[in-house]
Formats: sequence, structure tokens, C-alpha cells
Amino acid sequence: MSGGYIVVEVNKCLACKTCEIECAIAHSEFKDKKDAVFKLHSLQHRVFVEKMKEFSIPLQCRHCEDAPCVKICPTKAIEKREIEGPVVINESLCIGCKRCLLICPFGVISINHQSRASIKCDLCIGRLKEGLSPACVSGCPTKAIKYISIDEYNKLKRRRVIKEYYERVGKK
Amino acid sequence: MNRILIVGGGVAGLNAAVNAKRKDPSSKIIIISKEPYNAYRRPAIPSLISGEITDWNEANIFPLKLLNNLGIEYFSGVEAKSIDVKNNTVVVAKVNTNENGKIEYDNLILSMGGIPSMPKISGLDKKGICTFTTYDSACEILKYSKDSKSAVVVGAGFIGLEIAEALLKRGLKVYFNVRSRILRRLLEPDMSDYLIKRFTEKGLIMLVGESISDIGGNSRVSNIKYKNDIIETDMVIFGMGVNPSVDIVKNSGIELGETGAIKVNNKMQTNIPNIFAVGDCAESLDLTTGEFVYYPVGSIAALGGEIAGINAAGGNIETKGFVRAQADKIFGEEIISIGHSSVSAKEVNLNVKVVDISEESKKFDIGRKYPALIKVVLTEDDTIVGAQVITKKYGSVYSYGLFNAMLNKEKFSNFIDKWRISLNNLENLTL
Repeated sequence: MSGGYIVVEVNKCLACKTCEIECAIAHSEFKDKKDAVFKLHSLQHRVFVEKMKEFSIPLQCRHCEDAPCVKICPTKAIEKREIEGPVVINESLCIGCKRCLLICPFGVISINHQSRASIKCDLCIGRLKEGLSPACVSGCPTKAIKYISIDEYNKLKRRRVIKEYYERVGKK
Repeated sequence: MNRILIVGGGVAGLNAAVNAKRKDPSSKIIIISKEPYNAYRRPAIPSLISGEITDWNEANIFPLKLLNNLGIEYFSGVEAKSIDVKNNTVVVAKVNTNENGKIEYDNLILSMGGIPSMPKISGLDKKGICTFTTYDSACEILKYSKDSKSAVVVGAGFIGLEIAEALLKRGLKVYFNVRSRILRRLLEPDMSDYLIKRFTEKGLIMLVGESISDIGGNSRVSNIKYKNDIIETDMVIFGMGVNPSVDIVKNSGIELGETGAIKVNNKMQTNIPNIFAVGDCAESLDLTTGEFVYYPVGSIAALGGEIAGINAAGGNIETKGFVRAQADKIFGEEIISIGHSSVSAKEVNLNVKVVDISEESKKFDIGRKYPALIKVVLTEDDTIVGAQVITKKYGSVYSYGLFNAMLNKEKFSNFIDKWRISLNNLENLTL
């Protein structure tokens, strides 16, 4: 599935941070979660659960259409190849200057503790190619995080409208 | 066929090569690099000392595979000896051998980088004296740190502070010496004072106000003199910034600017039309003042490299100027400095005033929870030309607006309204 987006059903988010752990493991060298568990403190996640009063939401790179980080990168290490594709960092071109981190409006770019390259959500492009969902999506215990295409998203919205309409008038 | 020779394999040279090849795929591009390694990400040097990076390949940038795929030839361990601008040739030699040769070029890009600046004091030849601009020098620090009980770090840049932090983590007693104040060209005085206080609390012993002198010891450093005290130490690390590496340029006919770095125009071109200079060996155009200044910063090196590469490959592009933007996290303090400070503005005769908006930020949740020191540097007509932030967390919340405002040359009054709205939007966030 290409051209998908991460969509969050905010009322389902428990702020349990499972997505952060899943993200950290998926972006580590560990294939097996059992091995990763003891190294969790050194792993870095690229999705961040933020809370406001009773409201919580997992935030990751928005993969902006006109991304400031893409424009500011001096070595074109950050790219958005297709309009509906993810914004990805090519770490081998990242010189570690941190300009992207300074210009990002969402605060979702961080620095790799080891290599000092910039890191952020890559929509798990590796997993997508294998036919899997992004790690935060497949790990979410309440299915609050979804990875869907614009068409599917619109369909969900249409169904919600119909449901609401049915609740009001259809039941008579 | 356009033969482009690039002297220096840092980010400036590499980015020039990649952009030149993209512009003119038929050009023949050769990079020579003095260091006998593939290119690496310099900010990773402190990771090497703290032990956070175990596989140095992780710091590799512009890998050989990428360069080979593009058809760029990269020779490491080769240095330039002299330039003959009349015959378009560079004499090169293999490092540490007598082997040498000549390379002819149609266009030449100079990106030799900088050499660590050293004080004029005695005893610099002793073992345990280190700098930290290259992989080799970082390995030396690592080697000496293993049998050292204490270290003196001299200089006030970001990497110097990071190295001091890394050595402290390794269990050394660390002295930090700075002649004037911490990050003098990047931060306003009260911010430096704040950091000195914080770093002292974290365990750094600050020696502020005077340079160290008289390095004592036999073959290995055993002490230094600071003011009238003799301080025992097993190693001294100098990080007093860099000077442009311009030895091979002297007497070649290529002009140097007032800063001592190679003089260029807004196309990164020297006084000789087919020779370009970029990175820490060259001057660069400052966006806010339109003056040519010396900015030895990685991002500006890379940006300049792009301009030089495209122009050397037959293009014709100009830069409007560069904005310096640096950030680091040291001892848990996020430090951000963008554009001019009052010190760097003075160097280019720019009259500025500094506005402190720290109190303003405390009107909002985020500023109360994570107090921030925020300064905005303005010209006389209130245009934003610089900004500085120190905070524990969420520094990028402030930097994003400030950086944008600078790039757009916004007026302060315009910026501050938007800034209040954006902070207001963060209200009630459980930080």
C-alpha cells in the first residue's frame, strides 16, 4: 500500500506508549523483541505520545507536502520523492548539522545518540515493502493508530456521516 | 570533457562533487582527501570519546558506493602540495611518502577545511596534547583518556563542551578553560554565565577569565599553569576554533580576504574564474549583512559546496547568503544559536540591540515548566538577525519560529504576535 497516511483515532489512545516501544525496536538492529527488551534504554523512538489534560495523541513526522526540513537540508539528505510518499532521511548524506531539527514545526526530528545523524519517522518503508504495517500501527493495542490511504480515509468519513445520520433519523 | 578537481574530502568538497556530477554527468570529477579515511560525520567525534558509537562505519557519510555509482573518483590519503594557476595543474603527493604527481584540471574547487588554532605557549610538543577536528585526533584523545585521571579542555565551542562532557562521563576530573566566556560568539553574556553555573554544578571545573600557560611535564603533560595556580593534569585538549587551511594557496595568485580565508564572490568563485573555494578554508556571504565573513560551520560548508559544484560544472548560480544555525545538547541543556549574536554582529559593523523574551515565554505553560532563556538580536529597524535559546527541553518549539523569521528577514513586531499565538496553542499540554 503506497501513499498511505497515519491516522489517529484520538478517543482510542490510552497514552500507553506501546507505539513508542514498537517504533524503537523496529528501528533497532534487534529482530526479536526479547533481545531488545534489555536494551530499550539505548533505543530511540520516532513517535512521541503527547498529552493535554485527558487528551493524548501519538505524534510523528507529518510528512509535510512542502516540508521545511527538505528545503533547509544542505546536502539534500532529506527527500520527499513522491507527493504522497514519506519524507525520508538518507542518513549516509546527513552531516549532522541539525538545521532540520531547528526548523521542524512539529518537533519530531531527533538526533541518533550513536551516529549523530538526524532521525525521524520514515513510515516504516522497509516494513511496508514487506507488506507489513508501520510498527506503531501494528503494535497499538486499541487500534487507535491506523495506516490508510486517502481513499480509505474518505470512505471511513463517509461511513461515519451515514452512521450519525442513521442515529438521528434512520431509526424511526 | 570538464575535468573538476576537488581538494579536500570534507562536506564542502563532497557536496560540491555530488552537485557538479548532477549538473553535468559527463564531467570527470576527482576528489583528493588528506585524511586516509572515508568521509565521516564530524559531530560524531564526541560519541567516539564517550563510547556511544562502537562502529565508526555508522558515522560514514557520502559512502564510497554512492560516489562510485555517481562516477566520482575519491582518493584518500592524498594531499595537494601546490597550485599552478597558469597551467591549471595541482601537484599532489601521497601522505607520508615521497610519491607525487600532477593533476590537470579545467575547474578547481578548494575545500581544504581548517586547522585547529593553537595558543602560543610552550610545551605543546608533549604527549597528551590533543585537538579534536579529525578522526585521528579523536582517537588520540580516547587513547590518552584511558590512562588519565584529569584533563583540561581549552576553548569554547560546542564540540569542546561535548568532549568535556564525554570525558567527565568516562570518570576523569575535567577542567574547562576559556579565556573570555563560554560560546562567546554564539551567546549573549548572561547566557554564558548561566551555562558556567550549570556546568559547574554538573562537575566541570571552570577556569574562566584567562588562558592557561606553561604546559609542564617531561615527555607527557603533567601540569598547566592557570593564573598563579599549577594544576595537575594528564592531558590538554585544545578546541579554540579553526583557522583556514590556506598554505597551498599562498603565492599561488589566489587572493585571501581580510579574515585570512580565501576570498570568494557570491558564486563561491575566487579571483581566478576557474577556481572555487568553499568550507572552512574560504569566506562566505552572510545573508543579513551582505558581508563576506568567516563561518567555519558544517552546514554552510555544504551549502557553499553545492553552489561551487554547480558553477564548476558549467552552471551559473549565486547565493543570497547563508545563515548560521547551530544547536547542541550539553549536560542536559539545549543550546540553540541562529544568525548573529551581539558579538558577531559587531565584527561586521552591524548595529544591533538584543531583546530578551524569556519573561514572555513564562506567560505560557511550556515556559513555566521548562524555563527558557531566549534572546532575539535585532537591527536598528527591528529586523530579526539572530536568536539564541537555552532550555532543558522543547527548544525546537522556539527555534522553529525564530529560524523562519530570520530566513524571511521578519520584523520583530510581526514575529512576536505569531510567536504568542503558537505558544498559546500549546497551552494545557501535559509536558
